[in-house]
Amino acid sequence: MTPDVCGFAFAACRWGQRQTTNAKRLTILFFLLFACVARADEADDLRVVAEVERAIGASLAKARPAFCVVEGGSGVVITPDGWLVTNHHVVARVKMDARVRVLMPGPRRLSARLVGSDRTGDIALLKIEGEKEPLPFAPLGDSERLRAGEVVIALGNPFSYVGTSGEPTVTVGIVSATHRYEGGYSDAIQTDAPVNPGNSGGPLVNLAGEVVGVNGRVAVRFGNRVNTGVGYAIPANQVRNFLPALQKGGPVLHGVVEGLGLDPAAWEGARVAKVAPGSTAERAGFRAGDVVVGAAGLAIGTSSRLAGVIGTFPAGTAMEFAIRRAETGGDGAVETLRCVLDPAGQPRAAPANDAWLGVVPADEPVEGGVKLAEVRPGSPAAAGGVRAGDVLTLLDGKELRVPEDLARILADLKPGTETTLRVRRESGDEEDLTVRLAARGAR
Amino acid sequence: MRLAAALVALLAVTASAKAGEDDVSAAIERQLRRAIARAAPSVVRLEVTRVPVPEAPLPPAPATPAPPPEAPVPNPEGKAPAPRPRPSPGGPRFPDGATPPEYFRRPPGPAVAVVVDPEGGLVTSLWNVSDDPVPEVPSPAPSPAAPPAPAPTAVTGIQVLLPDGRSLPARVVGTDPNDDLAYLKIEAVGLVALPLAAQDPRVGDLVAVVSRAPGTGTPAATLGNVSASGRLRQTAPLEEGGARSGTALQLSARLNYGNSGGAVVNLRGELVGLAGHVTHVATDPDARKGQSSGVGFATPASRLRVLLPRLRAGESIPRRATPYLGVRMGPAPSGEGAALVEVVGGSPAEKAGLRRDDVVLVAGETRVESSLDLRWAIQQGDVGESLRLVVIRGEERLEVTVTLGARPDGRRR
Repeated sequence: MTPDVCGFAFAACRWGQRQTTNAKRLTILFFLLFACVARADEADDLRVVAEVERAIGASLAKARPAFCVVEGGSGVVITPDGWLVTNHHVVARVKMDARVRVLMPGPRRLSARLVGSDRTGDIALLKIEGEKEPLPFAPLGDSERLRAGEVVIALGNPFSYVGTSGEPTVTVGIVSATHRYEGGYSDAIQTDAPVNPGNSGGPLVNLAGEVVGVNGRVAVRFGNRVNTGVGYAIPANQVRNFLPALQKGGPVLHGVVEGLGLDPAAWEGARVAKVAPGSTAERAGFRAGDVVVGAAGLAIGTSSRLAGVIGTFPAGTAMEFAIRRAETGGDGAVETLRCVLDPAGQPRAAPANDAWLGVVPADEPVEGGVKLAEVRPGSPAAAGGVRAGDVLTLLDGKELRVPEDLARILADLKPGTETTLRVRRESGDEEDLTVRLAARGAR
Repeated sequence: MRLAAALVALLAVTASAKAGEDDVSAAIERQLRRAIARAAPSVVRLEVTRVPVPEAPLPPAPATPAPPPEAPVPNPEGKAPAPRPRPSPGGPRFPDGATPPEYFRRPPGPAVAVVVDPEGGLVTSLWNVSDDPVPEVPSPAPSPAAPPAPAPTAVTGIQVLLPDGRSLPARVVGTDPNDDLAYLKIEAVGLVALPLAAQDPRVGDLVAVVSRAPGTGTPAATLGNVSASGRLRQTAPLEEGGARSGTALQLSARLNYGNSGGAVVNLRGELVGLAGHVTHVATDPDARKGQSSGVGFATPASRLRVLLPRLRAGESIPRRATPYLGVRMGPAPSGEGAALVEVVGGSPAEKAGLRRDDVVLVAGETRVESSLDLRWAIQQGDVGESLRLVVIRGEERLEVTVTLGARPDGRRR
């Protein structure tokens, strides 16, 4: 409105110069009246702007003191007694129980111990030690209540600009999407709040100053490691689910329903493609053809959402599943199945210690083994004669049924070990091959 | 606008706001439009003409072939070749052995400046109107795979395009390389100056960077928030010994080459800062492509208030000399502190009695946990200032006070 007013006033004054004094006065009076109306309008708008900025400021007043710099990345203190959350990849090189230095706003230098780490979920828990006074903290919020469009604030140390000041970079954005399935980030919050290398492990906070996510990844293009407007955060509820396991220290196991094979092509609900005999899934009552429509009290629309929900819980969680089995003899009503989640593979302490075979399982479920979509060139599998399209049926004498079995078996093997595997070729022939496992760290 | 639209959600917490959802969104959009409209008459385009400056002739071919580009650039202390005079006192300085990174060179296209005096006074990022840095040492032979780096350029003329269509030549009246400012003067009166905000914005406050679109010259704006204040802005990568100034605002509003020198305004349309040059990716070698990352820097209003009168009066503020200790650092064997791997002869460190293998634990107020802390402590000091160090030498714990010197040209640290 203002430019219009100005334009109008300008034109009016030009016109006024050629008119009588009275006309000029009238013009000016008219302009003043107009300007008063415009100003009142603007004052209201400015009040709203001030409210918005106050809301952001109030959130920052709560969350900013809880920010910390850890190992060049970011982190956040979530309890007054000093439990500190960051990404696993930020502290990947730190040994369990080792101490790391922590920098907080002030600047304040503290010492923290690595207590637990979840490599799959990319969450690590540290404990700040040696502080007598309660620490500033930002509590975990309820990430399930986030909606696309909600304003969120990322606090972090992008490009290490925090330096020795301890003051985080504050970037305001929105929740672009919830429940993004991005591999290990199985229930990621997508945000356009600019996050960059160094933001990893830092909090994504809501306007109440609560931690709703832990920033961890940026979708990048052309290998250019800067923000594209697509960042992923691990939801706070997943952190809360894993907190007891992380606090206990030692291995942290993700949950999985053993023997539950899902149909990735199904569009409506998560359709069970197959149920392994004698498995947890069978004992819980799952049948091929069931459609899972709910898990842990959350609505399930697709198989990746189901995998996503399960991925936010540790092994040993008792979970309820809502299923619909119209096609398999049911009456279409929703039934409830219960099971305790099995451990999904063994946790791995450091990537360098992992045995590496060099195969990528296909999504396509097959009978009696794991179909391989890809065999990495130069990998132990390639050297041993494994080919893409093969179905891996045995590894180190153990049967494979689902892709997760591959990681589970490999976790028990050391790099450098010579072992045997059996493949079923696309022709149907079976072959026994010998491979010498390499170290994943070398990749 | 993405942010403006999203701020609707704020309603939930702005309990005191009487407006409805639409009103919150609309109010912010209206106010943003007003701020842009208010700033736009003061934001002018700059056409800067440049000519390539040939790099210094290469020294005679060495007996051994040049190292492959992936090999670390050899740069041992004390073996630096004699520095040559640089053609550009205003441009960023590059130490010996360092190639001026490509992102410090200007891509073609217009820049912007902000009218701060109706009598023809404008301010812009010095980077927009300074010569390209020329390396003090010729760059190593580029990899055949790498695209050839553009030749450095020198400025031959600056033309200001006013919103009313006039095009006037400008001359640089004053420069400040530390806060990245250049004051320009054109022969014009009755321009619309953008008022400086009374206060710097707070962290979290909404700001817009107003520039002008290339081609059409229409106002262009990006919206974001203040990410931090008092930031140490890099004028060269830290690991290459770049000096830093601790006064910059950090912004999340996207900054690209075209809005460097643009007006950073609050939603009242007041000038809260001047958008600086695009160096935000300097620390990440993977990211030296000048892509807007949501990390950008601006000179805040409080600095403009102090500096603009000095620049208008014709002052060319000297580049703040890089504080210099004269040591090479490495990790301490105990894991705590910075070990001195080398003490340069004749340096402030040697004069203060520091020796090789000393481990620095405290520098001024900073506890030195790694060599990075010591480097920061030095860079936050000033030439001529004393810096108290707590040092472990063998079993001994010493206190040593050093007087920081100015880093000699061609020396990295």
